[in-house]
Amino acid sequence: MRIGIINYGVGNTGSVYNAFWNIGHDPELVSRPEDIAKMDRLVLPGVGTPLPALNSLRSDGLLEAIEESVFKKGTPILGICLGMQLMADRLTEYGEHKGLGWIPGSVEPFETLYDGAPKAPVPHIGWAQIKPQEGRNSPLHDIGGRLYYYYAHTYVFIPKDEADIVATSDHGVNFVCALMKGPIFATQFHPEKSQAKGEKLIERFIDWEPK
Amino acid sequence: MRVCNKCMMPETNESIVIGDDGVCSVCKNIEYKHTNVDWEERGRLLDKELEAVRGKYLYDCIVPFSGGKDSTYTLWYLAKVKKLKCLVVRFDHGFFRPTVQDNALKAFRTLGCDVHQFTPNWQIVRKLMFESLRRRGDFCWHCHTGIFAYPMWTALRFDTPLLVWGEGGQEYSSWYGFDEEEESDERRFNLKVNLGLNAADMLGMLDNSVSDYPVEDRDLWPYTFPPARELKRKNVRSIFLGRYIPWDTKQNVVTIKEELDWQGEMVEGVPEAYDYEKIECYMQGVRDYIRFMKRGYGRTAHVTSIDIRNGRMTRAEAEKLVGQYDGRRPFALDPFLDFLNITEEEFHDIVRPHAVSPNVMPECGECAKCNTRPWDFDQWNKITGDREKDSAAAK
Repeated sequence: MRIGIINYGVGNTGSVYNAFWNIGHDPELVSRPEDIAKMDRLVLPGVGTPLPALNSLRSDGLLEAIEESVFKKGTPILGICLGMQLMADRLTEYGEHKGLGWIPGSVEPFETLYDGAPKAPVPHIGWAQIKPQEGRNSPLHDIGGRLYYYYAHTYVFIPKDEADIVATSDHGVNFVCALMKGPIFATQFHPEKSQAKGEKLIERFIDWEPK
Repeated sequence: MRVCNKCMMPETNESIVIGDDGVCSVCKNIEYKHTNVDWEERGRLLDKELEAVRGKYLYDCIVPFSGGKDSTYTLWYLAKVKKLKCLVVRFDHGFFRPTVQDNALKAFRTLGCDVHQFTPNWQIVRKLMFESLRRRGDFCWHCHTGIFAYPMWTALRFDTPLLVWGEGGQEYSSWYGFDEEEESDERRFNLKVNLGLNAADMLGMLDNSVSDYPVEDRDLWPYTFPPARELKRKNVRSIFLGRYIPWDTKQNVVTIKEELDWQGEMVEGVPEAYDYEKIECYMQGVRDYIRFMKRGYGRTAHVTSIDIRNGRMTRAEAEKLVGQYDGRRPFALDPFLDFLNITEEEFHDIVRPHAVSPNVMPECGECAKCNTRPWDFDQWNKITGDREKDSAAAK
């Protein structure tokens, strides 16, 4: 099993690498299209703002290689935080940007959900309990116990299609924290910084066989 | 000091929460155990764990073993009921009592199992005992960490990835609920076992006030948890039997007495009827005495609380026993002071800052009533490792 953490210059690859390494795997940092093609699992981490991230993905054939793996070969990919947000059609942080369009929806400031009345501080930083959607099956389901994960975000993914939502969380209001579509699994929170439950989720992602 | 209105546990018990209804979190967790856990389902989960390893490794599983009631029952259950080949791993904390050694031998020979015992460097143990007493008001760091970490290393070295422990501590504290997964993993080790001090912390703190033995970082490996990565790569699991079968201490003791001729033993500061609780360590009396000074309750409060929760005792009966037995000066204190080269006054001065509010430590003399002398007191090994001291004692 080769696990490739996509190294595109904006991600927190160190902590993601360590999380996989600590549970016994030997992930690889990959940035060349020919390496991406060899991976059995891909991880798209992300910290920062969309524009440099999108520009970096769209250079040197990187995006084409990822899309080839994910959509032609069905290689499971895990998007984390900004890595998830980039998968939207549209992002609105520091200007309007066209996203990768893998999961229909847009990324808006978290305050948009407050409807004019602030209910909790933004950025949302810290631990929050998540609620897997009933009747679904995803790497998050059946982990067991209370699921607390670690967050650090100012923007939030608002998906168009409810069928793509696999978990929600609460920060003053309910918001979407995990999405799944085909071989794509993505979380707003950071499994690599979420201790035991994060490790479990990473293990489940590695074992995941998307339908 | 608030005390649970069902059992005898005060708010100074580590990890306990007393709710608005006046009932403590341990009572609530045990109530949950009695009413909400599907034990048949848990039994099936246990079988799944055991079948996953049966016949596949050097041993089917490792049973970390002190010789007390819980580890003896666990070994009997796995070897006799589940018919597994067990490797017994025993970390010698330094204070095994004669009866426990006899009990252990009876269990090993009756059930048939390989036994691997590790005895750590005594000069280092002495230093660790003193430092942990000084830093945490709890001299048992070497035992807590060694007992839980050492067997994990044996899982790696003996190519046996399943370890099975006993009860899990649900009757004593509230670190984990029955609705949560609990394994003896690094997280639990750092949460409740190592007193917030890892081996590297200890190394930096040790001085030569007890012994001048030179300690290096490599000396402290038995007290460290193996790297998570190594454990994951070998798929090491470290589970508690008490999460899978409904643990009933009293019934378990009846079983091991019948099946293995396990003998009870008197424990300092505990009524004689509780001859099964913590009989494996002759320093237990000192541990419970310190707890009384720090937290205002002793082991009798604990054992009677377990009986109350299981409908075997009224609170009034428990209160009477607690008044009679908790907080008495143990006989084990004398060899303890000898091992650490401190006076009783120094001992009190070390413990006092660790008193847990709102409990206030009683002044020296206030709790001067002594325990009954344990019958085996003269058989306890009291070699301090100081040549002069030991020669003088021998005369």
